Amino acid sequence: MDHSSGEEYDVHAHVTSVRTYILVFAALLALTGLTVLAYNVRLGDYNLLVAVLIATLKASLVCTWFMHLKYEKAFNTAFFVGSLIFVGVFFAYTMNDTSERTRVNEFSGGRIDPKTGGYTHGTAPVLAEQGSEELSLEAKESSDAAEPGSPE
Amino acid sequence: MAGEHTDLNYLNHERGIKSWLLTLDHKRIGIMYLVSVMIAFALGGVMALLVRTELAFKGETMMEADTYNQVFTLHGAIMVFLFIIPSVPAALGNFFLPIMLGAKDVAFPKLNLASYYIYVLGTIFTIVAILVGHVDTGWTFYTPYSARADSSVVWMTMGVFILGFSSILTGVNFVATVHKMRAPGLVWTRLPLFIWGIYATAVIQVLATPVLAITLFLLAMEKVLTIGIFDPQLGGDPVLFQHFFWFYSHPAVYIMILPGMAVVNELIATFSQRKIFGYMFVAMSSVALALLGFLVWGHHMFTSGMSEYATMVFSALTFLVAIPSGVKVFNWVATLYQGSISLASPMLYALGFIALFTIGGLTGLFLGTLSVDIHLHDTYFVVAHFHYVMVGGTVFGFLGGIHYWWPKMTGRMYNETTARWAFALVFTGFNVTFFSQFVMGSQGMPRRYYDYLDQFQPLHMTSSGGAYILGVGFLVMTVMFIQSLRSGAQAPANPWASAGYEWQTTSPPHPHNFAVDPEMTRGPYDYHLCTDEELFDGLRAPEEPAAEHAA
Amino acid sequence: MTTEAVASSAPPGGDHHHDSGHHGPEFLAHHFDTPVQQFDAAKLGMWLFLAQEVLFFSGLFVAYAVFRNWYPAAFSVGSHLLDWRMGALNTVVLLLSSFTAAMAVRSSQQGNQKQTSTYLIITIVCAFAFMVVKYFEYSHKIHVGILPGSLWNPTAEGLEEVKAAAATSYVGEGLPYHIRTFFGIYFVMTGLHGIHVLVGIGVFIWILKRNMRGEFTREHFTAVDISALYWHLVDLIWIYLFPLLYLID
Repeated sequence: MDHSSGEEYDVHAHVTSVRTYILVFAALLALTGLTVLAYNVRLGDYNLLVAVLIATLKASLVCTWFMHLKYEKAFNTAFFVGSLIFVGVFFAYTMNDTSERTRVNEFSGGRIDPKTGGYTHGTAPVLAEQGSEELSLEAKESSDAAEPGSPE
Repeated sequence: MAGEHTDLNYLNHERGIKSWLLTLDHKRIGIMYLVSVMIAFALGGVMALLVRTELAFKGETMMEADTYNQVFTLHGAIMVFLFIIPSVPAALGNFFLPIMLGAKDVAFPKLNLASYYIYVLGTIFTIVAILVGHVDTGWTFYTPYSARADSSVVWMTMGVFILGFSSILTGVNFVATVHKMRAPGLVWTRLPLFIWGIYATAVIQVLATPVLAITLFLLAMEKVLTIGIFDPQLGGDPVLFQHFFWFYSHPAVYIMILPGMAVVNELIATFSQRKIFGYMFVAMSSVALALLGFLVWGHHMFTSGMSEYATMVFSALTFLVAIPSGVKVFNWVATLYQGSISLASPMLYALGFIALFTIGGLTGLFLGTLSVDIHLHDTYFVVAHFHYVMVGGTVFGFLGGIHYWWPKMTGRMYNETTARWAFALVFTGFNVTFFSQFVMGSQGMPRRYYDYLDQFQPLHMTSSGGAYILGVGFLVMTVMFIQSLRSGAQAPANPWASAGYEWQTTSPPHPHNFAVDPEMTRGPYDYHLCTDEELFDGLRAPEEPAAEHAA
Repeated sequence: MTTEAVASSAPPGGDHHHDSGHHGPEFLAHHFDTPVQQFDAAKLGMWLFLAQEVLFFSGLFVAYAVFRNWYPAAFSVGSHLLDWRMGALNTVVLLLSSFTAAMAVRSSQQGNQKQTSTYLIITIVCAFAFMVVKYFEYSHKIHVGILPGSLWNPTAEGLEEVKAAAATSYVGEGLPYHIRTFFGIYFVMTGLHGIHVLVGIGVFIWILKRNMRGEFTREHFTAVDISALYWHLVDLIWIYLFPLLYLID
């Protein structure tokens, strides 16, 4: 074995400076603060969007610097980031079913909630209203709503 | 293979049971997988015969409906999880992937051995499930029934969960091996198509199998903690389970078929003595199938109450799968054209594969059509379709591969005449069994029933008869292989005069695959660049000095 | 990526037996030609494994999305039953451990054995701290009977908490029926994540031991590197779990 070719022989990994690591850590803490702040401001409909955006920002900081993706081989980065495409497919297709079930045929996969008149999912409340099964929640729910604070 | 190296091979350089059980040699691990999957195959085959025997006559023939449910469940689960998924990749892939890459081993030999023992552990869980209870959910474990059924379902799902990790780790190992362990000169455009197929499979194993793991984990949690994700009574959604399950299990269909196709590439090229037609198209069609496999899982769920938008999208995308599959079939046929074809037993399996896979693939298009699927869903048509793909495809590819590489793996030849008879029995038996099921299915015979109407009696009888012919075929084959091990002729290094890299080493191979580190100077199908020594090395007298066999 | 296979210029007539240890440093396995090849293979293998982890957790996130879409009220009330301060504390703890893990790799890259040990110990301590906080959260939920599915059986104290949570959420009052689904998802998501943390603790204790034995050098720090990669993934999952579970309006 020829050991003279140093390039191939020595493992050269990028060494990031301590300063960079501390900066990234500080940024992560700041973003954590920001996401908590955003929650306490009560953004309503935008809550989910803002939370996921901030989380994604944090995640990319961790990936880029802590996990050294910035200096990683192209294929490794591509495979890891590419796996998110498959998550996206999984997510999008499943949601395309579960959120659209009653659009074309109202009898397909959904039912009308007698209280609101809108489409809803799951059979549990129906069973509870029929008083079937050992679903004790109904009793607790009503006692909770009707006589607030009543002991068990 | 000159001099003393002829004697040294992976089978004789270490001896004793411990040298097998603790081996890190990919070839020995491959052999251990091969033995394990063959045992699973035999077990699943017995279950299949039981199913067919019960169905041969109307009414109760030999078991109750409840027993029948368990038997078909075990047939499906054993065949899918214990046999087909690890068959080609883990057994033949383990043995030949490093050799074809000119590497000494896979990238992570310890992980490779660990994968094998994880497979064994998963098998033990599965056997426990069979022994302690009553698994009758079908291999798909659909909720809500599986969440209510006997608790041995938890054992079964945990077994499959563990088997999944074996599959994932094998996939990780193979992708890393293909990327990092290639011999000098083995650029991507020279990669044997077997490697391309196994590589595409490995990518699916890494990306899809974890979703099966989480699905089965959630199912187990559903049973143990009643988390209410799949149980409609708790507000969950049973159809969500189907999404989860098929997100893995449709790509898993490609985990099963791609390696079969991968073997067929090698067979067609070798037995036509020709460069494979459209190499890059065939290679890329494997990758395309691997990716498209992730986009079509909903076609298993057209009648599940899924949203109509989703069914339309899934149906349309399903037809795309036909394109790369068609590319492969056309390229194989084009390779045969003007080739110097030899009808040796491995090639018979390859040609059988093309014919049966074409039937299986085209009937898949019927099922992908929304309106037709409403009629055919859960009938014997579906059963026949996936058996044509899984047995006519994968199992034929696997058997072809075993016949093809048997001399390399064992160093022994087998009786070619017996092999052809076995093929004739398997091919005939298979078609008799399953073609009749296409007819029954289109007439409305539902799957998974242990009884049927009078009108189906003749066809069921035919189908069961075919199953027995198939069984006899496998029996003949088993006897033939055992005979080969006991008294087969010494195999030359390259009995089929193949240009493939794996034939350039001794039979059986050196413990480190090649006695001298190989360097690839030509592609694996470049028959026009091969020297006579490379092609006919093994047929020459052993004392004749062989050149550096490393291509 | 055409030819990263390293030219293995074996001398003619050279060693044919490839016994381990005949070439290169001791840590180089027999089937690799160079340490770079070995390092790159290990890194690639780890990234593939991490991609696998991403897909593994993706199932939970998809289930989360489906049910949050169906039962927004249940998710809102359920989220208010969780203490965001605990979640935030755990986030900080985990981020710190991720930082120290990265620093451990850096020290190891520079061959600083002592510093590596220090950073590894901090990482392990943080991981334990995370589990302690989780333990308090879990035991309280179990104590007041706020549990998933048919295990849902709140005590009087638990019902008080539910009422208070409903009042602070957008729902206002009442108890959304599917709150049990929220807790099913909560327990499975955090539970699986917790198992990953425990595995991480085990891995880091093992790495610490090996480091103390002086197994890692400037040329050979692969195990530290890939263990840290795993740990960062555990951190990544939590970065999403925290807002998705604790911070719903």
